[in-house]
Amino acid sequence: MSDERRKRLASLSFGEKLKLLEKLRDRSLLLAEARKKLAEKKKKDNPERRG
Amino acid sequence: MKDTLEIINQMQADGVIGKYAIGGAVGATFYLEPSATLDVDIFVVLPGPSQSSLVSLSSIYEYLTKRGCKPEGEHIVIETWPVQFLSPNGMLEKEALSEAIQTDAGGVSTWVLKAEHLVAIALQTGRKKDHARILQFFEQKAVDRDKLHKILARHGLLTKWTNFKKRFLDE
Repeated sequence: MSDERRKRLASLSFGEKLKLLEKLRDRSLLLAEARKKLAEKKKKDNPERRG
Repeated sequence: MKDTLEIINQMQADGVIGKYAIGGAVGATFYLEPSATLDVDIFVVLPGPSQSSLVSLSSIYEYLTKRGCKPEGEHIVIETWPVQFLSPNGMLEKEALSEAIQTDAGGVSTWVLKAEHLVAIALQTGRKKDHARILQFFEQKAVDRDKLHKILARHGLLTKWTNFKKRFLDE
């Protein structure tokens, strides 16, 4: 993130920042869910070989 | 978050908790650019002179679960946010809570720990994410160094601070 963008975000009101926090949280949860599904799919497609 | 804070304010008005203040990543967001976090840390003064913190925290849970909030590990989910209530542990956190500043969060009144206290608590806690947050405060010049130094001296954290500066700030 550029310094300019960080400064602009830091200068927002607390209320506006809290709204952004919710968006960031929702995005993090969505990405975590997608990663989990991807890992499960990989596991299913490539079951561990047993010797 | 606004709904979450309104419920906490109501809980305060109902006498379940005394003064409270937002700490952690959400508290830091008051001073810095927002960065992703999944929960909210709330420092609370627990009413009643002789109650143990465990008993009083259970009264918070009782109050909130009656209103449909669900406990989730160390947190309780208020509206959509997992909230961790923390009874101040030690003199630094007690001072931080007593000196917290009142602010407005989109039309809801709330309290946030001062920047210098957030940094001092992060230094005391000392996890990687705490160190990263301290660096953010310095990069964005969001902390008053003199005030921070006085707090660190008062709470015996100057050695830790010297080590932190050597390691991360090239000082």
